[in-house]
Amino acid sequence: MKLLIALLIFSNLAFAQTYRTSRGKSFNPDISLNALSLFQNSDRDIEEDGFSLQEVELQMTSDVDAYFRAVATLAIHKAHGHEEEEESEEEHGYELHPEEVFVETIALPKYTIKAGIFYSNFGKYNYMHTHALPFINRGVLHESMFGEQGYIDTGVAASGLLPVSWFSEVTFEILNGEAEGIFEEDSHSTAYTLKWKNLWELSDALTFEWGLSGLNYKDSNTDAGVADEITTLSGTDFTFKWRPTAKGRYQAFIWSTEFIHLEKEGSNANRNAGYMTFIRYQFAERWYAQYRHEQMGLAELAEDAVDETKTDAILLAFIPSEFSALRLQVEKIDYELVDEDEMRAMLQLNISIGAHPAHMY
Amino acid sequence: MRFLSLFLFSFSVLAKPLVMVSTTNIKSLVKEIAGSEVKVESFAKGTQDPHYLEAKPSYMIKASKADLVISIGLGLEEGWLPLIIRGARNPKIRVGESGHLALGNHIPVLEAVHTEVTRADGDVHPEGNPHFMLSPKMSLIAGEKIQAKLSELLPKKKAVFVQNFENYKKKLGALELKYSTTKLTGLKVITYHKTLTYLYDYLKINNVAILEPKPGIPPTVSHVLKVIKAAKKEGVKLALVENYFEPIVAQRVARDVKGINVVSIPVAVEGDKKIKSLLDLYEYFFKLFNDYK
Repeated sequence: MKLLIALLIFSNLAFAQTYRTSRGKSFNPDISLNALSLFQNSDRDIEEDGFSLQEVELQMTSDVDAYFRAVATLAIHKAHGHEEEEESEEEHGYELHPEEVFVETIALPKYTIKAGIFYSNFGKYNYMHTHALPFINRGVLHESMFGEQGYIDTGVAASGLLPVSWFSEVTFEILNGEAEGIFEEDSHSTAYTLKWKNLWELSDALTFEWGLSGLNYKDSNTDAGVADEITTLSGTDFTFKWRPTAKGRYQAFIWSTEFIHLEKEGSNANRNAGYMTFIRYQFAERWYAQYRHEQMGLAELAEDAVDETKTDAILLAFIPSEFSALRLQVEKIDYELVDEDEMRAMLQLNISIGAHPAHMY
Repeated sequence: MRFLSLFLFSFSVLAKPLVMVSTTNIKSLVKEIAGSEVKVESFAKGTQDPHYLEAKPSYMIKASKADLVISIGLGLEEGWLPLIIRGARNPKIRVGESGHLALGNHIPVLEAVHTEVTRADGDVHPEGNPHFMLSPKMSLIAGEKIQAKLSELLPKKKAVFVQNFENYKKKLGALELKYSTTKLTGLKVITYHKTLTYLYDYLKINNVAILEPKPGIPPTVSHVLKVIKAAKKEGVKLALVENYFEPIVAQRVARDVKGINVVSIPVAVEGDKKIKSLLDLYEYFFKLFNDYK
């Protein structure tokens, strides 16, 4: 009896304690906002020329309880006119959409399970938010494979580290296969992705990362005589990163390359492959110079029916602090089917306010 | 299968607990207290600024095997340690769990900001200055916590840890006596970043100016002129630059201020080949300050 009373009193005290502290601000989620302001000029006089708000990302992160962590990123950007609509000069205004809203486990040993809407982990750069991309735009390789915003989908992911001496992580995703422009959409479709990421420390200053990715999308057609819609993507990527251990704030180097192959069967049968390779050299405390080359059309279903776009971009970045960056990108785009190359210049101001979580390596 | 589990079992019995720490200064103190009872490794190298470490996935592998993580806290590792711990998928080392000791929570911190602070003030740590391991006095407080935590991890070895910590205290006391550290009061210096705040506070050294106009902001011309003026007026003899920064700006000051000496200093164990332990680091500073007393 005594024990019971003591327990009751104790639990009451404990309750009072939680109640008091939970009223403080400390349980609010970390909130941050990234804003990307852009000035763009193309010698083609395209619609995107001039000043614009490229994107705003509002992010909230917090542990939910002892078992889960939640991340919500809401993106605001210019509404894209739908293809079916007539071409018009009218402004479409801005749209707000959930870029990522997911929950992941924090108390499971060895594995992480994630559920919600999120960037697919396919490849090396797809999962990155616009503000964290190495260049101002995603580039022609990613845009032609996954669209301008990258491949975002709803589903479940599981990841874990393999028991080997180096970093070796496997991620498996089951997704709805609902990505506009990428798949032939249907409510009975499913997409699976598998990613294997490895990283070796070649020295204290140099790392080598190598990844393999695969994606399979299938929409079985019940109608007799109509073929299934199947999309298969495979990719590989490697990245060298160098930053000296002494005076590392003044110098660094990155060389990263990604290759993606696409195969589509069904109503829009297609095949294409391309690669993106870039180098980044940090030559002073707050300055980076970068160069990127992309090439599409490395695989084809039928001759002359493939996108063979080539791009070359140089970028100069001035980074006053962790929270702001001013980047100038000049890009030459060589559309295989058009005679003249397009030249495009972009100047971007990238800022981050609030408590933004750290970025992946 | 049985063979494998037997093998794994014997391995785990034989293996020493792995303690991952964020800086080499903590690593040295853990070594002093734990001796060879645990395996200890630091994420940051002695020449790296622990503030700007990159969250390399290879660190996640180490953290996944760790039995204990000891960090500085106070926001120092904010940019990388949370990623490492999450990527390690090792729930026992999460912040707040028994396998994670954030030393900063137990230190009487300096420069904690109680007023409104914004990012326009530079890289401020409202929780307080995180460089407390550079003060011998704070190393004793940190050491006490490390000793208690290690004893929790290996209860049978508690007596060893207590004894080792006593030995550390004795060695530190002898070192202070040797360099009569109480007589350094009033020595005037200028420093690049606020890394030595706790050491200055302990030795009562007068830090006349900081070369960074605000924490984490590289020196501007107008600020450097102010520093030059202050250094001249106060007759400063020593300009210290933490060795992860370039000494160029301090050398510029030295061109204008007669009799000032620019010294590029290690601020962490293994930050210089000769500095192999925390006591070596303290001795290096005691000796340096004595030379310019």
